[in-house]
Amino acid sequence: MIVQLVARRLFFLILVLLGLSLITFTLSHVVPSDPARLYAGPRATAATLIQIRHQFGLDQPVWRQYTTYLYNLLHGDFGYSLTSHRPVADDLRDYLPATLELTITAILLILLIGIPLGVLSSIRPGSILDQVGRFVSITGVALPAFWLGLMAQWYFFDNQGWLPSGGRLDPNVNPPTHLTGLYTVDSLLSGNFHDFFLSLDYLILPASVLGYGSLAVLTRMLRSSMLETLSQDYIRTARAKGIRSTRVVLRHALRNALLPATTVMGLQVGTLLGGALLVEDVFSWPGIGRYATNATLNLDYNAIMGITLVAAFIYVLVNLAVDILYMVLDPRVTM
Amino acid sequence: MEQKLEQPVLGADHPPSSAPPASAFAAEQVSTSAPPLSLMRKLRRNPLTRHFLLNPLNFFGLVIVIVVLVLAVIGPYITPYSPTVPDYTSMLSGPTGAHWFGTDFIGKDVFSRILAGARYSLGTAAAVLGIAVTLGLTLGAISGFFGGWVDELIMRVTDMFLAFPALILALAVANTLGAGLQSAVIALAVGFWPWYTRLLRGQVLSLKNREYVEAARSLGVSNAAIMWRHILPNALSPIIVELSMDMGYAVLDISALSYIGLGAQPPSPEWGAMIVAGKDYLRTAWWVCAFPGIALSLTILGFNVVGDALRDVLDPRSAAHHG
Repeated sequence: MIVQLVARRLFFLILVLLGLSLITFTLSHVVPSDPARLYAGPRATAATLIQIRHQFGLDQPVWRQYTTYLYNLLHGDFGYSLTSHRPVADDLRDYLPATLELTITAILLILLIGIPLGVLSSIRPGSILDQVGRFVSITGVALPAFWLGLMAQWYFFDNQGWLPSGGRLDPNVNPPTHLTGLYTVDSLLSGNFHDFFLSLDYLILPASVLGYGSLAVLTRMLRSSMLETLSQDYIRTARAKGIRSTRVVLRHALRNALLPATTVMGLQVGTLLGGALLVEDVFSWPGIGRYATNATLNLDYNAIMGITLVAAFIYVLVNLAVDILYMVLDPRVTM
Repeated sequence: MEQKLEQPVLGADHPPSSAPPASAFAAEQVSTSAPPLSLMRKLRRNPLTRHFLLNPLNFFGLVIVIVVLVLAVIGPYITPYSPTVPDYTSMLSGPTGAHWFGTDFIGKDVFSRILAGARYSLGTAAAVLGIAVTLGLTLGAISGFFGGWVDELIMRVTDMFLAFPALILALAVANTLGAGLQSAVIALAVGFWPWYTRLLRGQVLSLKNREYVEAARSLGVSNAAIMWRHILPNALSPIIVELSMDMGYAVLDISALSYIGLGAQPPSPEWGAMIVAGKDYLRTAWWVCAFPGIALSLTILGFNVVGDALRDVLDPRSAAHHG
């Protein structure tokens, strides 16, 4: 059954990627911009332009360019970035780990704070913690991430000087040996605790800002699904049997209440990826988001298509993983 | 909170002694002069007033929405200073009596700019939703009404758009159209329409076999008229709720695109653009960024809360699921 689900979803993933590549490709070819000019710079001669057009196949008919693009894509070739003058695949490989580190940290924070907050506020509705939960879930939806980021930066860096304003590490510190590309993981693996805590310092603010909106969604969702679960008959039975309250809440209720929360978190990955665009810009975080905004502002369409496809790929894949997890967690579910 | 409010609505024969302490006013009315229903009770009976006037958060949200809507209309005419003319004698002045929200780096009054900017944020958000709703509802109606391969095709396309983070999609579209509010509007509409298609399709599917639709059909009413006059009015509630929620999100997304540099461009008093223009002076002049952001957050909050409350009023069954 899981195999079927995976097969169907992977097929859908291919369709999504095809569709998206078609959309972005079409759009980027109706724009009146000249990629060759962008690549060669303002002072290039007409001959150079012709040569570049030929080199990148820009003198071919559009449909031909598209099929070539697809063909190259199958070989992991995203074409050349017009601004960095490097293969887009290389750029992505360089920038992706930073974004992954940021996003994963944000997700960890969301789970570490959101689950206890959601559970505790459902056990004692109206308590101080419940009020905190309500505050988070209301403000989380309303505060724009980029503005929250700027304000956090102003307070924690400009005003209090507690945390660095941006970047992944102090420019005077060498990044840890490249193993995974995630600075925290790499420094831990190479046993360099100083660098580990240093990169955490840089990570904590952007990750918190990025995760705040999704934290709100998770807390709210978990609270209401906990409330619903806690009113079920089997919970009353469990209590009647004399099982300790914490055990009832954690083992009997939370397990069931977590199911819908899992789906919500899967969908939030999309929000986080989108939010990374803004948060990375605020905190000068050298990830895909900044690469994307740069590419966008410069009409670097090969890079844009590459980013779009990779983001869609991650998003659909994560949600597939969530659905599989869902089936593992709850054997009743069939999809 | 809701439950507390709903308890006393049981009926006129309800003994006054059990009225909750929150309604001391109502209890007093009943025990002294009584017969005509007290104002509080009347307000509680009507779901609209109960949800909007008696719930503090919802009331707050409603006030914000009204204020912002009014500002969108009259904002530029009531500003204490010009929102666009620089004043080099008072650059980067902090919040004072003369400039409530301070001034920016060329002396423009931040408060005036926020007042004038409301129409940009709301106007563009309304344009985004206008396009999204028109497109989304048309496709949703066609999809639900005709079914078959048309439905299949439309729904697969919809799925494809939904499978994708809206902001990244908007970015991809906006960049190809070039920077500016117009392209930002189109780019965001691309992300919003699929929700309306799905919503209306579901409604149409559940409504199209109702007796009154059968009746209209047997009287020879045309498809378009059935859709327009008989199905759409009955499918409106969830659409209105969705619209109110999306208004907040559209305002948010527009400002986000402006922040990236794809929406409104800096000299314009659009709130997102104001924040970008202020971020280089954050260290010395926090107010240039802070106040437009607060205006933005309150607006988003307002539409969200109102959307939530509207759902409680118009669509109580689905409200239960949202907790």
